[in-house]
Amino acid sequence: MNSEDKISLVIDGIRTEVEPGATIMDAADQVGVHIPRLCYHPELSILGACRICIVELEKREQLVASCSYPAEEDMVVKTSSPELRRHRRDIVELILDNHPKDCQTCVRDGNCELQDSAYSLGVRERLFEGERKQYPEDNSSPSIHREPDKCILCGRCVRVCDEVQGVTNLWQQNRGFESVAAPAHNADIMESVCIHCGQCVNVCPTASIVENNVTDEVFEAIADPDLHVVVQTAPSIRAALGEGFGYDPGTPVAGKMVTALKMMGFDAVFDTDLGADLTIIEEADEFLNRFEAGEKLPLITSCSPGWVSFLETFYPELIPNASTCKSPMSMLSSLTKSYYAEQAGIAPENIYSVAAMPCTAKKYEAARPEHETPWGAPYTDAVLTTRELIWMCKCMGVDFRNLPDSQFDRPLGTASGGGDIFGTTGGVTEAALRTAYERFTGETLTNVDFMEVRGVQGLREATIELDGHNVNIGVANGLQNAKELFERLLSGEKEYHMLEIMACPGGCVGGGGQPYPPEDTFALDPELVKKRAQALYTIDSSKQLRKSHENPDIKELYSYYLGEPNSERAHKLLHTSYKPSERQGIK
Amino acid sequence: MGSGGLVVMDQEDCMVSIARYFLEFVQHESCGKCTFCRLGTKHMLESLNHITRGEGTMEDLNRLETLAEDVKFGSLCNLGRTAPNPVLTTLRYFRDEYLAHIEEGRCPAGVCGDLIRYHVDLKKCNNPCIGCISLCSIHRPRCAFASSMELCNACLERCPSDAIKVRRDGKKEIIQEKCTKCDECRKACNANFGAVVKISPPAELEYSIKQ
Repeated sequence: MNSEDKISLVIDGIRTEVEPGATIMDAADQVGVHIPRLCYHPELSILGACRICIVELEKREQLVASCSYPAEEDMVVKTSSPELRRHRRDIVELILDNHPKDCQTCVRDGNCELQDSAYSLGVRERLFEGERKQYPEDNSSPSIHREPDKCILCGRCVRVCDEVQGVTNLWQQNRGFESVAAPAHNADIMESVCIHCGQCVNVCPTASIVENNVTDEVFEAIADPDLHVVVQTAPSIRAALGEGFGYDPGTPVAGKMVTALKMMGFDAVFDTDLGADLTIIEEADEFLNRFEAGEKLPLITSCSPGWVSFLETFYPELIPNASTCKSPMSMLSSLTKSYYAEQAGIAPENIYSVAAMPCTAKKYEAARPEHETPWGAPYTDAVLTTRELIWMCKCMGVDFRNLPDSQFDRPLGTASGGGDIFGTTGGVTEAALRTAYERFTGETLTNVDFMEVRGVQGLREATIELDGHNVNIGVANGLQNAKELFERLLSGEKEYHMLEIMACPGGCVGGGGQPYPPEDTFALDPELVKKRAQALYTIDSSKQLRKSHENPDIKELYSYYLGEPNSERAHKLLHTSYKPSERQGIK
Repeated sequence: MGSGGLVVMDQEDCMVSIARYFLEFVQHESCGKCTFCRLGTKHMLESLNHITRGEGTMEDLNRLETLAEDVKFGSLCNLGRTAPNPVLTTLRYFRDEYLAHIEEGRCPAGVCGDLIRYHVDLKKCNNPCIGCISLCSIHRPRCAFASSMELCNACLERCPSDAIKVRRDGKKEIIQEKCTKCDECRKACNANFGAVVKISPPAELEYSIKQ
């Protein structure tokens, strides 16, 4: 586009040119003027509700929200003046007045966008004291904890739930002063169609929506001498945990993480990547069986509990297509309380199994009745998000940056590169193809990098040749994209053999339990997700062991314990079932 | 006003109370999307409530002016942008009424319930002196004088809260604790004698009586 098509405007005396359709905020960002903002989120639609980003326009009395006002030719914008600063300060004061005064004891103390705004806009006293909204906390869900009193009505959770996840569960309820973001009719999370993905937690600027914190229970278990506390860590934790300790996004910290967990008192540290390898073997087997029989295709992956919840609530007709494999976490937990208990000679009742996951929906998955042991306890006793794990390390005084590296414990600690890349969108497919290819053709796969399925775009399609057969693959991350994929599938527009669905944008690396992003980036940022994914691909490519079925721990597991893929014991421990949700969502 | 209509008012309308009324309406209508309208008008209304209840301070007035500007220039839609107009115009043209409320605890129009007291002017309360009858308990049932008297009980009959007491001399007095300031007694008396008056600020009642 030549410069004639561009719009030229003046921001604080600096003339700049922007593309048509750009907003005043875009233009200001371009010239290095950071207009304060709260409800604005680069990956979501524009709401213009908080009004903090108001600016003055020449020849116009009314102030306009720079996030939503389009740049116009020869516009003269002033982003800062005593009046503007006072208006902005008043907004934050108004919000603060209607917000609990418990910053010091709040879970987001020091990491709260409202606090940051109050600091940077110079709120040093609270002038507006008055009635405050009073809503009960919502503790119904094992994943998501809502404190409506802390809601500042920025509408980000509403938009992410609708636009990114296509669930449209959260919405503004009531009117005026009584407004609150909540499921329809102010229902509890568990009474709603919430899929527990936790993207609302990621984008919430305050602590109005947070994960259900179980760190106390884990601390108690660690301190209990009768319990053998085992922890497993998901692939994408190691790509994001470092962010909590000042590392750049995308710094792999697996070795330090294992040391930290051992220092914290966990008796054994296992690798969920092994569970991922196991999932691949079971799923590849399942896929080949279905592919050869030509039934129940496409096979849809089932590692993402948010997605499984979405399937049961919104697409029950696709339940037969979903892989019956448990998620890597649940597989590893099942094995911890059976195989490992047997090997280590520990009564499975005395094992307390903790999973560190990038995900809030895993908390919900762990609490599902299908994942219950025969003696009534869950296979996974507690699920920690990456954020909770970071906090636990800090609480225990672990000097993370100066830790040496350690190895995962055996017999459930060796993982292939295929297991590592499980944490990113396309990774499950790639790992499955590595195994399926060798199983199907009987040949050795030399180039294990299936670049066709890599990337961070929300929706990708690829066709892979397997011994003369074309396998159509669809990969979606973010459930709005998954919906699009299902529309193509259900309308008959396209035929697929395998679909990989991850509920969160970018896959688990962008999960609802990942750290609040560092300052120069933001939740849902494709660049951030890409960096975390790159960390996993780097781990994968640096390994000798890249194919799940070559994992020696897995081979041992099958030969001594499980028999072969899909055997009776494997079925009992590694597979699950789904049923349509009682609350059916509107697509 | 917002509807484009014209409202004619006289000195018996309190401008602070009118501003409060319109703001209450806006609060009720606010959708809750933008901060200024949702919370700004709420605090403006709270300040006005303080002022009309006689609890207002100059701080309330400053806050009201600040927020009126904030809400007017920063709101998302025209509901919020026009919401402070009644406050801003009454502040411009009737600032003395606001100050009377805040500084003197006086509602010049005699509208704000907390800032007024109802009082019966005994000189005007038109009942003749029947002191002898009230004193003479023995002969009252048979007294021709007493039975020929017609006492005005207009205020007594209209009072919904039983707040009017008949004195020994037959004149009326208002029991302040029971009075709900519904204005019924004053309306009833106005037609006849105009003896019921509103006094603002209420604290000065004793002073008024001496006069």
